[in-house]
Amino acid sequence: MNESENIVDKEVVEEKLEPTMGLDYLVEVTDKDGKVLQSFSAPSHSFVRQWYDLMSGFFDWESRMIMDTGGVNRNCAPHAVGWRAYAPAAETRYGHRVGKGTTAVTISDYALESPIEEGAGLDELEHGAVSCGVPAVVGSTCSFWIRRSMLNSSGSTITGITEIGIYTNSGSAYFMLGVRDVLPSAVYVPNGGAITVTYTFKVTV
Amino acid sequence: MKHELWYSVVVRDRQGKVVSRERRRSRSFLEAWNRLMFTQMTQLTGLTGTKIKEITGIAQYAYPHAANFRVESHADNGGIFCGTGDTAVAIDDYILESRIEPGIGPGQFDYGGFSTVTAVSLAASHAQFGVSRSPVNNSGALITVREVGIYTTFYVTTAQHFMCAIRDVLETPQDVPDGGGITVDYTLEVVA
Repeated sequence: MNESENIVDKEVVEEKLEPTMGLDYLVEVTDKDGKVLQSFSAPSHSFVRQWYDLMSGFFDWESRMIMDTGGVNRNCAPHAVGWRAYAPAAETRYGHRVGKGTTAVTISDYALESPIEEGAGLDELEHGAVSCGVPAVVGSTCSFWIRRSMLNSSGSTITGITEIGIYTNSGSAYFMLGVRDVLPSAVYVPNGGAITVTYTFKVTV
Repeated sequence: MKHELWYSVVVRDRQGKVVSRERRRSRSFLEAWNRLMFTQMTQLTGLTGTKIKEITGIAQYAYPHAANFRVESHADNGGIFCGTGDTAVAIDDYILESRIEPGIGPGQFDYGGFSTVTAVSLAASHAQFGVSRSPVNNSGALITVREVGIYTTFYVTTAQHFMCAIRDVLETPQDVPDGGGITVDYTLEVVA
């Protein structure tokens, strides 16, 4: 008798189920008076490899080689600031970022393709402090959100914003890309206006 | 991309022969998981932070810590565990319904030390890592496993506590014969 005949073998694949861990984004563009010019939301599907590297390291409390946002592999020991995204104003090493890259997301992405830098110069944005909503349970889902607004004080409209993401600490002094999304269409931010990106992390049973 | 969690259980008899197995997509990250992720991402503590219900049922304010999410720090309270409960998973579950306690007495599993964790492996379209544990049944009688899950650490200031991060009720109860064992693997992956 073939050994496999004795095995109760069951594999259940439920492709139509929603992910148990979900991530959504909301992008809003406002003018200098706060009027909403563009707004759209969508599921994010774009945790990237570094998110898992860090998680794996935390699980077994061991260092992992994690690529930083400059493309350099760093030896990252678990640290209390791991995953920190709650950035103060003007901090761009961690927190939300936006950019002008259009290349589709891959698992190996380690930075936004063309991130917009901090400042009030040409094609620069002033990054506000990250804010958040504490976790809340509704039905069978627990979710929280983190948000950042970036103000255009450059003196002219910034066009062609096509990518968003979250940078976090990977170690005490290193920073990684955790999430990247390419928007379905480019957005523009008029002078004096702002772009606000909200990511909602949720788990559902 | 899809962010997924899979579990598999493989039951062996005392000769090591596989007698049953099940692999299934887990849907059961729990509330505590998201609350601890919130704590790490925001670094908020105390009244501005969030409380996590530990496995004793007491809710405590979580603190950012290098050893949050750790699964191998305590053989009896951290890592993968099995249970006999079959109540459907709820988002606010904070413990396995009826954990099979560590030991070699009646109704107990010898969990064999810590859970193991693999580093991330990367293929063309996906990245994944796993957590595994292989309890052995030396209780003297058959034990039926109906639920599995992962307990991790979280910290309240500098004190270590434990929470249930993931819980799944098996599609098919798994009978683990005396002298046999069960290997439980969780795989976290992102698929392009």
